[in-house]
Amino acid sequence: MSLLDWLGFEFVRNALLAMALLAAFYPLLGVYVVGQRVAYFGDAVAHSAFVGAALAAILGWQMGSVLLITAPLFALLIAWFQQRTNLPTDVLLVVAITSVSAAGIALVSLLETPLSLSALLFGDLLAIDRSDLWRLLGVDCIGVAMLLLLSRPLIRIGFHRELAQAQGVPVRAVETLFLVGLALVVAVGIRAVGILPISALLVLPAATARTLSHSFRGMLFASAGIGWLCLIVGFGLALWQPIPPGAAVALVATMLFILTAGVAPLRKEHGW
Amino acid sequence: MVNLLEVFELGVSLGGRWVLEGVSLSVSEGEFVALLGPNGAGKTTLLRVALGLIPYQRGEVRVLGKPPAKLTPADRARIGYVPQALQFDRTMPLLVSELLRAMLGEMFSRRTALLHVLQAVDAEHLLDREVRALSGGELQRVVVAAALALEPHLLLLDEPATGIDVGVRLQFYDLIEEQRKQRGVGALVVSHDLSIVSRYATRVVCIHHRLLCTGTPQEVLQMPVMEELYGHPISVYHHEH
Repeated sequence: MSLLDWLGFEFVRNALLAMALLAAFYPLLGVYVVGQRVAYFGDAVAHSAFVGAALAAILGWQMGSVLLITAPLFALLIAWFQQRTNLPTDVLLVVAITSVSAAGIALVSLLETPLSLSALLFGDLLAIDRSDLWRLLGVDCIGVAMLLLLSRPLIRIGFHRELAQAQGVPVRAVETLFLVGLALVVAVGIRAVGILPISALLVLPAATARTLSHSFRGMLFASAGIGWLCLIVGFGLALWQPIPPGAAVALVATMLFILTAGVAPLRKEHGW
Repeated sequence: MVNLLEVFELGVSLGGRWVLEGVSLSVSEGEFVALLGPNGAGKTTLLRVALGLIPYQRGEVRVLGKPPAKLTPADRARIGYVPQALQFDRTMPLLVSELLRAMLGEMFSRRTALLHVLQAVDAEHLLDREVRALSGGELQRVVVAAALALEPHLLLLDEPATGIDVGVRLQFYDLIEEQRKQRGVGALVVSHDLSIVSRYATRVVCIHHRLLCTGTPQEVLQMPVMEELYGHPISVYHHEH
């Protein structure tokens, strides 16, 4: 079957559009996620999809819509705990991931109609419908607006949090807004990519770009390019072999990261 | 003269221990006040309180006429702050020009404006360098340049010249001297460099959790309390240009 034949199917066209919407924004956001050192936070928010999916099934609502409510609420809850306890962030996030996964799986087990945990974990790109695409487009637009607004303060906070605070950057407000935005972006991508590979799609292109770039602008461009490459190759791999597209994309992103990380010492030595 | 910073009977407790107790000082327009004291005396804490970064339990603090918690972003733009030995993420690819644009905003988006900012600390050559590749002294020069670029009224500097070459260090303090005399800028500067203190400070305040002494550099540097504080006799070596 040729690519043109595949394009005759609506589910393939939807999948390609979803892929394009993911590739257009996730790797760019990833640059700021890596800069703010909140990669693990995105992972915690992704795991809250267990609870969101169970709630959606109980209420009989669309999962995508429910996640857009539960994920930002969960993000705000973590941020609230972070500000009010002395617990190290990594400990807090492990507690959050464990508790939300356990609660979600318990709820899912009690459902009369079982949910596909595999689709939740690795996504179901080929099951994307138009409402999912609109949600993706909407959140992409919100995300771009957020980055245009917060880019400078985020660079300043990423460079030196206290200096930014002393210079009048409303650090807590910027960080909270960014985390809520990140939660929305993660939530909207879960159906396509899945809980497990979503952080890979966010973080790996940016992490790879970081080893290749010499400027922040360069890192944005490199991350965007790597993100596109991973999605195209990963999607092709998923069409060729029976691998979930989310897992295939994450695999390609991981291989690229390992390759560039391995080459990095040589680049440094030879000044490439 | 207008008081830019007023600290009255300040008490700060951190982790159940009083780091500062009953400390009072002020910085007026056109003054260079050097804050002296051994390591752990509470100097950095005092600066962080003035910036509203940590709360205080006793006394009163007024910065540009307001309590630190009430400072607006516009007020903060009138305060130049340089923290002690910057620790930052050295894996992030970021050019000096990108950092300065993020710090200084639209007014400094043009390359010529950024070069002018760096010229003040003799660091134009750093504009296109990666921040992560700068030495400690070079990075300190960039941060100092950014602090001075917005023509602040009050400077709060925590060992600002650490790691900077002697020649550039004197150039930096000459620049503060110029701003002090021409624009009435007030500065509170933490420094262990007594030659700098004796050369540039108009007043010295010495603390060790409490206020120990205050006066002109000539008066304070000869006080017996200085010898007690630093554990050995104090002598001042004068840097030459």
